[in-house]
Amino acid sequence: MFESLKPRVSLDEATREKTPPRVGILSLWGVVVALSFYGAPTIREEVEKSPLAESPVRGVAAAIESVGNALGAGAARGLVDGIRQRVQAPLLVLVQPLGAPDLLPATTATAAVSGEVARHHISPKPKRRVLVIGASSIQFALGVELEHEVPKYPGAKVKRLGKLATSLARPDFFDWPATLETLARQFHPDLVIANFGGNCAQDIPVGSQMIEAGTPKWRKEYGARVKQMIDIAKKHGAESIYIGMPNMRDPAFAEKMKLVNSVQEEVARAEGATFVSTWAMTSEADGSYRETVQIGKKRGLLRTSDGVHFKPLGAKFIVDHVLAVAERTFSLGASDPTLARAEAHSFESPSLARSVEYVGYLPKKATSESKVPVAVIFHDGKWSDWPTHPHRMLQKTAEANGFAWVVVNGAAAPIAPVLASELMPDLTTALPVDGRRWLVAGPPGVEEAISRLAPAPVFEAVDPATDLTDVAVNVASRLPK
Amino acid sequence: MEFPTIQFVFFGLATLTISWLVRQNKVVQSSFLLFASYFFAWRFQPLFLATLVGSTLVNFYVGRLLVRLKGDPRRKVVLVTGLLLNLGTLGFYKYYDFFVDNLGDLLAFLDLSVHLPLLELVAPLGISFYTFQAVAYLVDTYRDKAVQPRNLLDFALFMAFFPKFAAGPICRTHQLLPQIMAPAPAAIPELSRAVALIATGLVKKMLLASYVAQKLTTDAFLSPSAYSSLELVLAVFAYTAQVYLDFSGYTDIARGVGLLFGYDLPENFNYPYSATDIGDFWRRWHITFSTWLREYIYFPLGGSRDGPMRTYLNLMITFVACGIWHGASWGFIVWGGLHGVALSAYKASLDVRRKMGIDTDSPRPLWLLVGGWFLTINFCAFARIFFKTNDIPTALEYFRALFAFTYRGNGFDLGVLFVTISTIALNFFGRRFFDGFVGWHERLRAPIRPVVWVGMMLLLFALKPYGMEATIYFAF
Repeated sequence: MFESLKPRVSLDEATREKTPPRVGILSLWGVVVALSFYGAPTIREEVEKSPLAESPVRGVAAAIESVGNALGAGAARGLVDGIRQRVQAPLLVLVQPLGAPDLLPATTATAAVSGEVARHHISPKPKRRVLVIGASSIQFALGVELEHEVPKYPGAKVKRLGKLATSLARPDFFDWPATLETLARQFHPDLVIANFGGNCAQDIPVGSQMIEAGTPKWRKEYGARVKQMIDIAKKHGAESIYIGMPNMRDPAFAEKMKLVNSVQEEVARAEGATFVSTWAMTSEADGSYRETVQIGKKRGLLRTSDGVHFKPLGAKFIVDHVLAVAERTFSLGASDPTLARAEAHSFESPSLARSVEYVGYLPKKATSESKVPVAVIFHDGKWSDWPTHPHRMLQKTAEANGFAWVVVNGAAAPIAPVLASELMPDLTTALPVDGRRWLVAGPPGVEEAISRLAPAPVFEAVDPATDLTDVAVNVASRLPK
Repeated sequence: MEFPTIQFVFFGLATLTISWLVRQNKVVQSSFLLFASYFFAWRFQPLFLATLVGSTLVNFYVGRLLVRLKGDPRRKVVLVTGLLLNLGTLGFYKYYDFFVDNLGDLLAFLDLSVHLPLLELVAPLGISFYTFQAVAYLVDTYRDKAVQPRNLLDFALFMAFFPKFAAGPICRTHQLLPQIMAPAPAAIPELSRAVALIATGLVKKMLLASYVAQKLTTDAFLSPSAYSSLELVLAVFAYTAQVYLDFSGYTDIARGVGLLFGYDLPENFNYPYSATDIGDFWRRWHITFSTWLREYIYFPLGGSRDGPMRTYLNLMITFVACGIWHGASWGFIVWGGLHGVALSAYKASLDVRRKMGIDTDSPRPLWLLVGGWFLTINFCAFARIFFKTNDIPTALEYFRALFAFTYRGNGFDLGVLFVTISTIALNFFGRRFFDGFVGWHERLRAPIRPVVWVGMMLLLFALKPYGMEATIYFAF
């Protein structure tokens, strides 16, 4: 058993194998030529991506591919790929998955869900493949934290590419659109989380001229580049989240970041992407640069010594917020067994002639076979603007109490008239909630609508300024056990 | 340009062809190989080449000065200056940000504030490896033990020879310079061994290491709470297998490619997971680096000459340095420290046994060998948690999930278990397979060989996972 511990017998120089160079090298070239026919499509793609794309080498690569196909290399590739697919299929997964939530069907369009009024319901497909891209912050702590946290969501896979000193302003230095195109083709993301900006507020070269940073022309050009990135993601079936740049220690630099953020936010909103601002989180109440952060009992520096990048604790602070937004916007699931999953839904209301969006917080025990009570909250706010704390509290209280929260996006009053006729039927169809009890909290003025809800509405008057966390805790405590 | 890529295949083969064509003229051949090696470095990043050329020039002339100053008291000053230049450059690239970051934390703890810029430098590829080669050259020259290059060309090729430039093996002068300075061989030596090394390396790196990474270890270490305790234990051993497969696979390819050029690079791994104690492990793992640590840190500190306590301290210093070499993070420092503690404990146990009159050099009974092997591999595997996670909080998170004793998790592919067990088993039986393959290949007739090689490559393509993991040790 331990024979390999014995010393190795030294090779005898006299009996050493010696191969004439001509034979050895011709043999190796023969192998490379044969394998070139086999791998010709890959070689051609590599050449097309390289600086040789415009040279005669491209023609040579195409010729090799043609000859290879004529010699039957295509059939060999098919055979090898077939074997490979079989080999790469999971051999045997030995342990059952950990209480993964029932996945909702992909985008569902249901008409006349309860036979009352025709509605078009949208349940976004849960996001599972997350591509994280950006400059130095993504290469370092922020990206590391995202790469660490995203896989905690059920079934989620993450791929990260961070390149320091890069930007959307200088594709001549690093071509992010082309890189995103390649990454999207390889990884097939359904969500792209991006963070650019630190190097973006610079003059943009267009042709032979430079467009000066901060000018209207620059805003337009930079906006076009952000749009190009969002469009590439869309083309590959992915949504986008743009993480805004944080406040900076250097006030002049902070002003530049405000400019970059404003363009990114404007374009993101126009193009249906999500912009997550980090400015308030990285600023003191008076708007100045924030030095420290406290998460639980841990207090530490938010940023590294340069006043630009995040320390690990700061990255955790930002990533928790970004992922909280992603959870309720893109149905990521729950990253922690103590948290309910958040699912975004919407339907087209025929009465209101617009879409009504809501997010459901569903405990793990809620399935189509085991439905749970639901409490609906109107909070007059837009959930993309919430801070992280109420979101987490809704997740915690839903999971701990075994019921679902539904939070309706936007002002309560316009939705109140369709509360019973459209919202409730829609959410009982879309979510695993039972119809026996409605527990409703909302701002003053929706009592009438609530009173129509049987059998036992519970009304918690909520001022829009009230902290949602308090609402969650109060209503949860009044639930019948 | 990693080894198993189309670019490298064409680059390597073109370089090999020209190198053999010009072999009659050694200067031309060496110059061409140097040019090819510099092109290889430049293809990664021009800065990498600039740093390599700078290091080569400085070390060559400092070495020359050391030779000229033989017997002169100023010689020590020259040596220290040379060492400071080498280690200063290495430290600046690899550790500046780590130092500034931790200094900021320390001062913040003391309610002080300092704002030093983080430079976010990307350490030039291979800098740790060729800097250590250069340090060995300077110290050996000072000790009059180095083989001296005839000229700058010899030394530059010694520093930059592309098969070993990016991640070793770390060559000392006697291991490579005589081969560079000798006339080129008339024939390719040991083609069968070269083919076996390259094939073994490709299978280890492209197939097995990538397989366990993609099927379990990457996800398990990123998100341990999603896995059961059993799966996390498997991930620890699978990662232990992965590091070995990845790094020894890379080294095998480097040595195989080196042999095709007529250069026999030193061995870096000697079936380390068959080690029966921690000292044995370090004689088998990353041999050129562990030898370097012994020769240039442990022995100069006094080695085991000054009593047990001083020996343990020397071991601790040496292995904390080993951890720091791997990277600027507390995870590596803890990993190195753990190995220092283990080696000290092992050394202490030897001392106790000697005092009890037991001959520690006599062959150990089988049960002791098996027990020692079990302890060693478990220690190495679990210490890797700090190595892989890099930072202490993530490592502790892994341990928490590991000891939560949950039995339901994301699941794992049975193939990972198979690869992990096979990797450990091949540490016992691998040499027999390797030598058997070499013998079989030597008996193959020349025209049959290329057909066999194509068949082997197609088989590899059919079995390998999609994509390939980056070489772990490129980061060091």
